[in-house]
Amino acid sequence: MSPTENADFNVLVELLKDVKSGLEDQPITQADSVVEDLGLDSLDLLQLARKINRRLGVDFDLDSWNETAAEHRRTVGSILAVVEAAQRV
Amino acid sequence: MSERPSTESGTGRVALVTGGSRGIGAAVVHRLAAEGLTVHLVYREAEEAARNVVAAVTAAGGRAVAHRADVADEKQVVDLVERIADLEGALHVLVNNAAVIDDRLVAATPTAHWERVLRINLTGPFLACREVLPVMLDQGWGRIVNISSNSVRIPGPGQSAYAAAKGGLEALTRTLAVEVGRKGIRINTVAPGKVRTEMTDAVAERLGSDGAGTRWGLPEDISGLVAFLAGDEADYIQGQTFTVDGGRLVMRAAAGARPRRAGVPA
Repeated sequence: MSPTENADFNVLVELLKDVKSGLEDQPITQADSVVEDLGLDSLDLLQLARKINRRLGVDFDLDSWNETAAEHRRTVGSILAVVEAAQRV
Repeated sequence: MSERPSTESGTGRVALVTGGSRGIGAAVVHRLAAEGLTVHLVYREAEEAARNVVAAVTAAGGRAVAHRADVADEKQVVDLVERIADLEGALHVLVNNAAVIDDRLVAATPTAHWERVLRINLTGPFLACREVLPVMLDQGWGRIVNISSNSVRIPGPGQSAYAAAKGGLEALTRTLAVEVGRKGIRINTVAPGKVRTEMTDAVAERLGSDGAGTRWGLPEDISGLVAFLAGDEADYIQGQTFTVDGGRLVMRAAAGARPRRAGVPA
């Protein structure tokens, strides 16, 4: 990961732990599915998307990301990829 | 992680009260403002009444802001909540109070009439809830108080649309409580009995006084409970409906359960 990607990952992990109680002591990797492995539900995802938008200054399109879930399993890395693409625009 | 406001009082919190220019809504505005909240009140037509509420709150050392909006209009509700959240940077309390009474017998109720009452009394609160919830989720703290009615449990003839809407509102309260309760948001309903306001003036004569001898309520009889449910001490109260009717509901139930002897307990 580049320094920027690494910084974004750290922020994302912080936001995930903020949204979902019980993740405080759990190691989180980019390969983790936020739904299947970390247990976020649709309300958690809504909350996470808003926090991403505010903290990382991007417009994270939750619906679009959900529509392609079959491709990326809704992993942490897939969120970072969307964030990174948005930051390049 | 909860971002609960730091003080135990309402100081620093922001409230939105629909139908806040008159009746129960105005009493709620006064009460919340007296507890230190900044209160944004919504009115549809009663501009002068809204101005008077704001002036009275200001004179008492509080802060209130009036907005003209139609709670049945989706775009207006979306814009309103966005405007308040942008202005204040927060929105802690929503009181869905705006409603209409327009009683007609079912056999004589045009579809448009039914839909208008449902739109204002049920869809309006749904829209307001939907728009404030993301803000409350961000905060990890929120209070929603929906104002229902005793008509859900003891409807009179002609109240089909009104009672159905209020019953739906109580169901919305319970559903929302299940959906977002774990996020620090509390949603409850207050169901007033007969409260003397401009809205009920039109039906006051028909409802009349009660055999059980209960008086008509005043808006201030309702606002105290609403303020309580909007505060920290309501943290363990979720998805409930509270009847505030001076005992009318329970007395009617008792009267129906035994032979009636006026004024004398059986």
